[in-house]
Amino acid sequence: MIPRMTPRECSCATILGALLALGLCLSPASGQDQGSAPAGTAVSAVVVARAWARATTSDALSGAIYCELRNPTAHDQALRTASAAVCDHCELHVHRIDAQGVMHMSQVDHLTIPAAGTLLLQPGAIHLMLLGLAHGLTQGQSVRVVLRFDDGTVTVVVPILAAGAMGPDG
Amino acid sequence: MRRGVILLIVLFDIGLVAALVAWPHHRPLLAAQTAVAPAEAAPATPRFTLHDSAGQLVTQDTYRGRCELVYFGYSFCPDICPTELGYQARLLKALGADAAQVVPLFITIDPERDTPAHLAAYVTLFDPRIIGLTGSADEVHAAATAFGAWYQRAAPEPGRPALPPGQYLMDHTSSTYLVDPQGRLVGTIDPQGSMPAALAAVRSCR
Repeated sequence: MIPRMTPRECSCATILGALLALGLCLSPASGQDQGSAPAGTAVSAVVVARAWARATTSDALSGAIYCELRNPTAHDQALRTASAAVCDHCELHVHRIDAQGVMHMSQVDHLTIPAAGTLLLQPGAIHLMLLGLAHGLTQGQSVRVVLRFDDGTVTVVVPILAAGAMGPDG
Repeated sequence: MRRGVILLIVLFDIGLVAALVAWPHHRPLLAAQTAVAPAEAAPATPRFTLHDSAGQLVTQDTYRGRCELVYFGYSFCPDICPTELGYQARLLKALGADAAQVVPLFITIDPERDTPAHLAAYVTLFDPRIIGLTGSADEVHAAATAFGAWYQRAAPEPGRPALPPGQYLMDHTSSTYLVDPQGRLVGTIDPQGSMPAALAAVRSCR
């Protein structure tokens, strides 16, 4: 069960995260991918790398974010929720193929990143879905997303690539 | 006969998709072996009546003489459709001059929201050569049935926050059908697997 956040709540959390990110400039991974936690919460040990999103039409209501979740700890970690100011709410999605070959997107209540392992979010598979976009996703812009793991949160600035992009490199 | 072809395609897709999901690292090898789903000796010739973004009538005869890549999806699709269209755009680029002999068709399964103008804006994001087609609910359903595609509005999941009115997702088959210049359904291609195999399949479609 993912608690629904209003856009205002999303926005507050994100702005706090952004301010802290600017102030501390935490970037253990690549200097761009890893942000920081919103005020009052711990920074997760999970490293969010190579995050990207696809551009959509300006009136699109939903979009997807992909990334690598790297867990350097000796314990499994779970991604519990995500939030972003650009959308009404975020969901964690996996794809399921039924007996008739039909693709169903299913919401899950968490994603497990194995100890000392990486979970890949990629097109056609596991992804973070933004629902209720206000203005679609525009190529060249970015989306700020707060990910909440078991041990804390991470704020990530996600670049929006071309609609036909297939990976973080285009 | 048509049911046989449809069953064959569905079975192929189940197997292929399941295999791709189960062994993602084996994608290139698997796709190279099965780039084109086998079709029966006398393939079906799917018939459809739809409209393009200019409102022009489009039927199975409109693009006769060229191969068609036919995909059923919807523009508000957040992951699967953009993924497939992204690969199709790459396929078109890789075809080079041969792309002139190919007509990529994106047929909406969500005619309620996919107006012709919106559909055109959407497919152009990927490649201006992709043609968006829509029609009445009955016309779209007939077209999908003719190809063996299936879709329905996704049912709300327990525990999921209710989406605002007008926002919904669609469950659907995700196959790219290859139609030869005579309008015969050759099979499905898998541009997500091996691009060389997909290129060969399209180039040999004549």
